[in-house]
Amino acid sequence: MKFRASELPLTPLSLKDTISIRTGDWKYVEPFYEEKLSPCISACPVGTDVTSCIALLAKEEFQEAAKLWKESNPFPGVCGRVCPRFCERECLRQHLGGSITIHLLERFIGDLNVDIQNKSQKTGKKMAVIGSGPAGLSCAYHLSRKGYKVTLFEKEKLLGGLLRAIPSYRLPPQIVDKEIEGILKQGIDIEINKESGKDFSLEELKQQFDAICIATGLKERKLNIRGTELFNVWSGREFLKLNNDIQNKKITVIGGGDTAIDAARVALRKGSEVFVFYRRRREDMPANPYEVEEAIEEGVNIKYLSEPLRIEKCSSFLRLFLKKKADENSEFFIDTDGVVMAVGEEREMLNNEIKDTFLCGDILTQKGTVSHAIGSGKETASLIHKYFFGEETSITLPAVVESEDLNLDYFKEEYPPEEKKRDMSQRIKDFDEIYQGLTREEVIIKEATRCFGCGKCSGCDNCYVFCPDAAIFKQDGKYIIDYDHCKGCGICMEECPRGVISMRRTEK
Amino acid sequence: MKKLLTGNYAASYGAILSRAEVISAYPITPQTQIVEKLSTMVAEGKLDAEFINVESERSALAVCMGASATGARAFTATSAQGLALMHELLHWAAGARLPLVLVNVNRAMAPGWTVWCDENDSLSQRDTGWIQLYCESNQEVLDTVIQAYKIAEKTMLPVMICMDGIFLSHTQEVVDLPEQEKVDRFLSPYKPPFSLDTSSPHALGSLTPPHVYFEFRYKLQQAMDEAQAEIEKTGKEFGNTFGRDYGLLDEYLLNEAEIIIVALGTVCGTCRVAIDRLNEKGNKVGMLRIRTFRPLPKKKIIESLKDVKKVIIIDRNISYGHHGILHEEIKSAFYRKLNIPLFGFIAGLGGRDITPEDIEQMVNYTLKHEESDTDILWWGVNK
Repeated sequence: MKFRASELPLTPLSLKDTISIRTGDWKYVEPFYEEKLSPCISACPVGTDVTSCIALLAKEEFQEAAKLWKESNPFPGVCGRVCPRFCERECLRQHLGGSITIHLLERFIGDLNVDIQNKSQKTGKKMAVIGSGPAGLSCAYHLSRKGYKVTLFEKEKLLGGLLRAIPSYRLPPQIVDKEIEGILKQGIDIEINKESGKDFSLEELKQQFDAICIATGLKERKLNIRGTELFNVWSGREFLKLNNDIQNKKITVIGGGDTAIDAARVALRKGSEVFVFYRRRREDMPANPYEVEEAIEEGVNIKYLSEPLRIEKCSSFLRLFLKKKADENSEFFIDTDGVVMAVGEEREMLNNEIKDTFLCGDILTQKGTVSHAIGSGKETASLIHKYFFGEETSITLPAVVESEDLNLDYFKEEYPPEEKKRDMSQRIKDFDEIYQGLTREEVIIKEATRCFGCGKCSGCDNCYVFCPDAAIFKQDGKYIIDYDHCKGCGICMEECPRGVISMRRTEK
Repeated sequence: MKKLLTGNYAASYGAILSRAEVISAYPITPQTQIVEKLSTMVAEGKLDAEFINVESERSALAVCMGASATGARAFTATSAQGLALMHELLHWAAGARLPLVLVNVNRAMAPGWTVWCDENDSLSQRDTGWIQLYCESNQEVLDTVIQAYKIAEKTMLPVMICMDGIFLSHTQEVVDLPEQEKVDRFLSPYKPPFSLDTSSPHALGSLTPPHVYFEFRYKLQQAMDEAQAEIEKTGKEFGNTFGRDYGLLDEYLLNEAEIIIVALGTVCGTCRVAIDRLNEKGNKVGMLRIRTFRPLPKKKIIESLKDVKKVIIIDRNISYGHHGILHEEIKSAFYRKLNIPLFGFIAGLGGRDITPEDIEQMVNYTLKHEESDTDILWWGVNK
C-alpha cells in the first residue's frame, strides 16, 4: 500500500477523541429509568405511597412522613391497628427476614397526631355526604381538600360509623376521635342525629347541594331461623353496643367474620364463657387469622362446620339447636344465656336514580374492611371532581415490582422487631389496647431502614459504578444514560437493587 | 461490491468469505459485533457454520481448537481481558500447530475498567507462538482475515489479527467486499495433514519427555521463520487477485527520509497525515508500519531503516519496568547492525487520542535532539 494520505479514502485519523464514536448505536435493547409501584402500594386499598413514607421515617423526617401519609389516608392511627395488612402480604422483604411491619409504621405515623393544612382553592361546589363511617369521612376529607364545601350527615350522635363498633382493645376510641378531629379541621360541616329518609330526604338535599354522596354502608344480615326475636338474642352490632354486665354468663356467637370474633372477645372480657359456631372450616373464616388465633388463646371456644337450626326459650336460658354441616341427622344443642348472630352484611335496596348522586364505601364495593372504605371514599371524591371539572384523575399506573426485579444481593437478611403485646392473663380482664406499637428507635433503626424501597431510586450509584461503558452520568442528583455509548448490556438493570431500571427494544 | 463497514463487520465478512466452519466466542466490548454478526448470519442460514455459544473466552478458544483439530476452519474473536483469559490455550494452540484465526480488537487492560484502545493486550501475548498481524484500516482487516487462513494453513501456525478497538472496530469506512468466487479461488478448502476422527481415535498433545519436546519447539521456531516468506507471498498473491498488495511491513515515503516513524495500528493513519504536513514544510519524514509483529521481520526492518538519521517509535503500549514494547523490538533488531538514535514515545494509552499535531510535535522534538533525553518519552501524560 504505497500511496499518499491525500490519495487515500478516509483513513482512521484521530482529530479529537473516540468519544465522538457512537459505540452504542448497534444495540437492540436499552435500559431506561422507570420508577415502579411497590407491591405494598399496589396492594393498598387506599393507594398510599408507603415506600416514600417509610423512606422519610428512616431519615427521621416524621412530620413529612405523616403529612405524606395523610395526603391519601387521614386514618393512619386507625388503619395501623385494624387494617388486615394487604400490603404486608405482598411485601418483598418476606423473602429476606420477613415482611416490613407496615401496620406498625402506619400506627406510629398516626400516633404522631400531625395535622395537615387544607390549602385547596374553593371550587364553589357544595357537597352532602351521608354517613360518617370511614368511607363517608374519607370522601368528605378528600372532597374538602379539593375545595368543596362539604356537609356530613350522620344518624348517630357520634361520628365514625362502624369505627365505633370496633372494640377498644383493638382500637381505642380516642384514636378515632383524634383522627376524625383532624378530618373535620379540613373545614367540614357536620349534621349529627340526622338520618336519611327520616330527618331529610335525598330530594331535599338535592335542593341545597350540588351533589350527594351516599356512604351509609351495609345492613346486618339476619338469620332466617326460629327464635331470633327472643330476648337476649342480638345482632353482632347490637351486642357490641351493649353496655350491660354479662359476667358469669355463657354467650354463644354464630358467625366467623371480624364482628363475630369481636363479639366473642368482648363477651370474654365481660367475664363470660364464650362459644363460637361457624358453618365452615377455620381456614374459611373471613376474620383476621391472627385475631382468631388470639381469641382461641384467650379462651374462646370455636366449633367449625356447625349450622344453626333454631333457638328455643327454656326457663332461664336459651337453647340453640345446631347440626353438623351436610349431615341432616346430627342435630345437637347448646344451652346459653345469650346468642349473638354475626352472620355478615348485605346491601339495602337503594334508589340511585337520583341525578348527581354518588356512592362510596361498602354500599358500593361490599369489601367490608375499613381500608377499602377509606380507599373507596377517596376514589369517589376523585370521581366527583372529575364529574364536575373533567380533570383527569386516572393516570396510567406504572408496573408493579416483582421479586425477580430486585437484586437481593444488596440486602441483608433482617428480621422485624417484635411488637410488645400485653400479657394474656392481664389483657382479658379489661378493654385496654393489646398491642403497644413500636418505639421511636425501633421505627428508625430497625423497621424503616429494613424497607427495600421497591421500585424507587435511592441514588445508590450502582448503575453509575457498574456501567462498563461509562455511559451513565449524574446530573443534578439524577442519572442520565448516554445512549450514544450505552450498548444495551443490561448490567445496570441487573445491579439495580430496587428494580428501577427496565429494558426496552430500541427503535430502529 | 463496496460497502460502508466498521472494522468489526469487516472482520465478520472476512470470516464469512473465508468460509469459517466453526465459530465460537464470548462477547466483550469492543469485539462483540464481530461474532454477533456471524451468529446472525448462521441463524439466518446465510453462513454454513456451527456457531457454538460458550461461557468464557477460554472455552471459546478451546472449542475452536477442538474444531480445528478435526480439520474444520475455526474462527474466534476477543479483546483485552478475554484474550488474557485465553492465555494458557494460546500457548496450546500454537504448540499443537492448529491453524486458527483469531481477531483481537485491541483494548486496554483493566483496571481501571476501560473499553478503549491500547495494544498491551495482544503485545503481551507476544511469546505464545502466534503470528501477529496489525491492521491500519477496515479494508485491511477484511483482507487480512482471508490471507490469515492461507498463511495459517500453510505454516500450521495460529494467526492473531489485531485492530485498534473503537478506532477501527467502531468506525465505518468504505470496504471493498471481494466476490466469494474469487476468494474461493484464492483460498482453497482446508486440507489438514492429519485430523481427529472418531473412527480412528487419537490423542493430541500428549506427554513429551525431554528427548522430544525440544525438537517440537525448534520446529515451531522454524515455522515462524518460514512464515515470513509465506506472509509476503500470500500478500503479493492477494494483490494479484484482488488488486491490493500486502507485505510484512508497510513503508510510507521511506526513500528520502531522514527521520522514520515506526509504529503499528491506527496511529499509522494519523502519521501519514502528519508526515505529509511535515514534508510540505521541507522535512524529510517517513514511516515504517510494522504489519507483521510476529514473526518479526528483522532483516527487512534493518533494510528499511539503514539510511536514516533518527528513528521515532510510537508505542501505544508499555512493558512495565522497561519501556515501549515496539521500542524494545526495534532496539533488539538493531543490535550490532545499526547504530541510529531511537526516540521511544509512549502515547495514547487507554484510548487517549494521538492527533496529527501530536506527531508533528514528536518529530519536532526529535529534530531538536541528538539523542532522546530519557528512555521513555511520555507523550501527553499529566505527570
